[in-house]
Amino acid sequence: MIPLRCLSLLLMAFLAGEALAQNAVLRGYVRDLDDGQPMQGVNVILTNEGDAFLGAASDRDGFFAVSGIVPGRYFLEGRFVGYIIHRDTLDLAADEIRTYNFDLMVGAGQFLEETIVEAEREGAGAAGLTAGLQSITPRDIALIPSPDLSGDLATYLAALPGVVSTGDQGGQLFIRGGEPTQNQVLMDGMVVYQPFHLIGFYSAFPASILNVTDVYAGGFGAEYGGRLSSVIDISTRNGNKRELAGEFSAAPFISAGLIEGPIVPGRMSALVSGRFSVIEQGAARFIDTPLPYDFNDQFGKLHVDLSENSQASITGLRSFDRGIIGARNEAEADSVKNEVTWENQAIGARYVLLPTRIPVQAELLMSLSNIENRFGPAEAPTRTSMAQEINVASNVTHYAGSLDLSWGLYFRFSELTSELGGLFQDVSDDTEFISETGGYIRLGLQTGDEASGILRFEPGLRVASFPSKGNTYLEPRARLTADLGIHRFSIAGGLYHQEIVGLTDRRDAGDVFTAWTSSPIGDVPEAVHAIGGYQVRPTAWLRLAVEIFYKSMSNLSIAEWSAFPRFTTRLQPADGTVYGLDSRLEINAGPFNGFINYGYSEVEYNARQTEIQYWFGSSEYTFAPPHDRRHQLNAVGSLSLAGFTFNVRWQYGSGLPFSEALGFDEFLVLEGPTDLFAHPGETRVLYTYPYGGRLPSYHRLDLSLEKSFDLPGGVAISLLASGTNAYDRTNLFYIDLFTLDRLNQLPLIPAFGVKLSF
Amino acid sequence: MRYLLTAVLVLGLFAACEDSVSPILESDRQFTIFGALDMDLDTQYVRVIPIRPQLESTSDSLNVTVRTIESETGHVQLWRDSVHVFDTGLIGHIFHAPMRIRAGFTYRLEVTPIGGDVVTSAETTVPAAPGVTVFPETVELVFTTRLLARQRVVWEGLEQAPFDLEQWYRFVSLSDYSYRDILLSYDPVNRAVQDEPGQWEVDMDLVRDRDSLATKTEIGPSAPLAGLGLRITLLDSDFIPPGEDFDRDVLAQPGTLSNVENGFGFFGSVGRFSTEWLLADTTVRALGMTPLGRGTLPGSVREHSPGMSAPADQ
Repeated sequence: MIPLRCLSLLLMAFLAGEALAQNAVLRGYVRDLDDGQPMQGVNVILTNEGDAFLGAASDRDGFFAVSGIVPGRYFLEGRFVGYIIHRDTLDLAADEIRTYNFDLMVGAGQFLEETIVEAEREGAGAAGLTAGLQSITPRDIALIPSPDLSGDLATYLAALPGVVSTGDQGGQLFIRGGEPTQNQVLMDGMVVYQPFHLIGFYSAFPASILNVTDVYAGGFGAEYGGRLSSVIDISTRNGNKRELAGEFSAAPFISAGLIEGPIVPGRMSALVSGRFSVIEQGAARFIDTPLPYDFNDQFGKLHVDLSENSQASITGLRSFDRGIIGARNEAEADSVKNEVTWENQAIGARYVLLPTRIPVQAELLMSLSNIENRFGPAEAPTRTSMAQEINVASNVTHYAGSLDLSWGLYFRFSELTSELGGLFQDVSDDTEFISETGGYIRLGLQTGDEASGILRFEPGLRVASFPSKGNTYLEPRARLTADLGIHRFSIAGGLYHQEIVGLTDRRDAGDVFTAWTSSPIGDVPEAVHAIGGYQVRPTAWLRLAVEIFYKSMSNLSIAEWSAFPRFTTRLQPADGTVYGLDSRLEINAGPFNGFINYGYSEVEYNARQTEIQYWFGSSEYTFAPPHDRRHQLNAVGSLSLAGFTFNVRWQYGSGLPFSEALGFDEFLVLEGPTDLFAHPGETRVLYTYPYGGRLPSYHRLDLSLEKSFDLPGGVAISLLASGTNAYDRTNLFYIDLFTLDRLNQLPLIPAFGVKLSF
Repeated sequence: MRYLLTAVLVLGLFAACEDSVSPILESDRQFTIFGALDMDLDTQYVRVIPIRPQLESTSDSLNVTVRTIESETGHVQLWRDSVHVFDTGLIGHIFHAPMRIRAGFTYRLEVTPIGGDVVTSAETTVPAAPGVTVFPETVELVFTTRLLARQRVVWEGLEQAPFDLEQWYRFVSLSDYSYRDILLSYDPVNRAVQDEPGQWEVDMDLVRDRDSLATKTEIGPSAPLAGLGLRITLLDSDFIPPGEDFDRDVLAQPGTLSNVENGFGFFGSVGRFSTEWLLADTTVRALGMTPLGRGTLPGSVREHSPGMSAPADQ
């Protein structure tokens, strides 16, 4: 309780300081005039006839706040590249808190260089990596060649160094050494448990519904919690508030549709989107290998500007995946006993308020998230796991000159149910109810200017309490960014815990069934992150970034190393360390945009298992888990010429660890004199050291060519030709140790797509 | 055009290089052996399991030579294969040899592929015969109604706790004058208590034994008691699992409780030793049984053979 008391005292002191101030505050929202979308990164500048120069940049909601304004007359400018500058004159009185919303209109040639009024938006651009943060927009996603015209967040994530996918199939993304279930995925504040589809190009997040996605590969701030490794924080687009718009596309992998439009013009809009896989009817026909995958996702959002000071939205998401990983022929593709299924459902409401008398932005979030995993036939699955979470949270940000203070409170209630058929013998099949409550405080201190350099420091503290488990955790966090001319330095770090964990049996690369449970053995998993980065922009078209990172994880639960083949295991405790380096080079030169990035990382687990000492000589053993990809290289380019857009991506990944064996035999328990004719024994696998082998390296070239045509009536049609794995590299997905069958990644898949938009 | 050709060539090279990888490593470990020589048997058995690269076992015959060498005498015994199909459908190669093993002797088992030069082998030394002392019984009547009758038997020179202990009473059948052994099976092994290192004592409760015998219907109430005996089963000194617990999950780890060179599994030996003696006639009568007519004799240990029903060594 002491930390909560300290938090309250600090908050009161801050509010008292604010109350004594005489200065004015200007705040508001910036939107695109065309469709009413919030605009992020707009520089809002206030000057007067003297030498006053104040300003702020808008956030992902288009929100800006300038505080500490000495009363008087000011000239306001709202600037964004490619848009006509918005100008106005404002008279601000002492203690006035003015809400001022405005729209920007597209118009070329207004100004080329943005005037920087605060630290440049963190993480924007391929080389904009800042202390683990990468900010992604649909424009970034469009650089990556895709087998269809809808674009997807997953394709961009897979092009980031430090993000490892074990294959084109399976929907598993490991971020800087963290397991997929250690990544927190938030969409408009809602938790989404397993959003990545079975085919690695797709997630539940088509580019067409995205506004901005912040990916924290580590070192995330105090406002985030509940996961150990990373955060993917997605902000979705609002529907068009001016006019009806939409797009429909078809391609061999997926067909998609989106409609958006005003319900109350200028104030209330709706957006609905849906995608359905057509792989079995489409892409699978191009290749010999069956692709028994069926997935779809649906999204809907209602957004309303309640007043000039408040807005609300309701967001809903559903995604569904069903498939058989590694099916080699039609018979296996039809065998439902190996079918894995998962379904996400999430619905949430968000209310944002700018109180008229206090210089704060307040946000209230409520959401319900649900995930259901099944393995086996739909009518009689052999394993199931379900997690449901109710989340209520409030976030408040106070603005006071160069200082801002954010704090929040939250309550979560989770219900976890698993029937695992003995897969993890330590996990009971009972239903668990877990409550979590807590809060956070984060201070944002910015100092300096463009000439002398801008320093931003964000210390924070998160308190997470689990009354149902009797645990409370204090998690200090900090981020620091220093902009010195063309150079940017950044560091971040913190302490993290994860009470609700996802368990997957990584001994089998083809097994993606995930069981959600509270930490099953020992203490709650814990991680410490440390990140240091440097970025330089020597010219307007070139940027380089390099970052080093370290994660230490403890109290992990992994499948026990056992000589008995698959299907059942116990869990054992493990600790992990991850360290590595990200380096990126980004070029934006006229019609060409592209980047090259290289990532090096080492992931090491240290596990303790009494039994293994008789096999390896020690009950502790250290190994590289199956997602330890040491080297990664991505080269992405996009060239727009004569109305054509040509995208290319080449990726390389060094081999992933896998387990080797000496062979198989039968094992008998000889408890003294034994009748050998009465005991057949149990077949066992004579594993060598865990994950001691390395699969061959992986590389692939993807290409796409796109052309759009404008038709009468505001309709446009886009055509796409693409080649996935263009030189038909035989990349290995995994080798089934028990059958010695080689399962490969996707071969060359040519694809053609069409999109109609209006 | 030249650049295009170069690009096509490079792409072709990329596509062509397919890496081969095998999860099964080559090794000199070729066989897993499970089995224990048993002093109780005149035919010994051992299972030889080929370490194979695939999950399923095959019915292929094993082209191997299996033999044992008795170290003390140099005697070589060849073993023969017998293919056994278990209820599960699994096929096992169980080798057998007509041989009796001797206490304290060392036996080396060798499995050699025909035409191969890597020998999978294991060695076991049969437990040596322990010493035994049978102390005179004590008989006491408490409050004139309650009988207390006990007898101590001390086994000496044991390297570890006995694996099993069997106790029997021997009667003479009045119908055909043959010996009838009545085995008492109530937790006898737990009655062995370690006195000093290498010394295990069995404190026999003769009254309780009598009560147990009364429930046996094989013999008449007047059949004379011709003696009683104890048999001890000892495992060889390597036959000790980690933690002295036969935990399946622990023992399944390759290399656990293994003494096989160039392979896996365990090859052990089992020693069985027994002693027999007579109770004093007065004790027998006090227990309500019929004496044969002789007094207490000291017990002596001997290697136990199956089917033996002769009186104890005297």
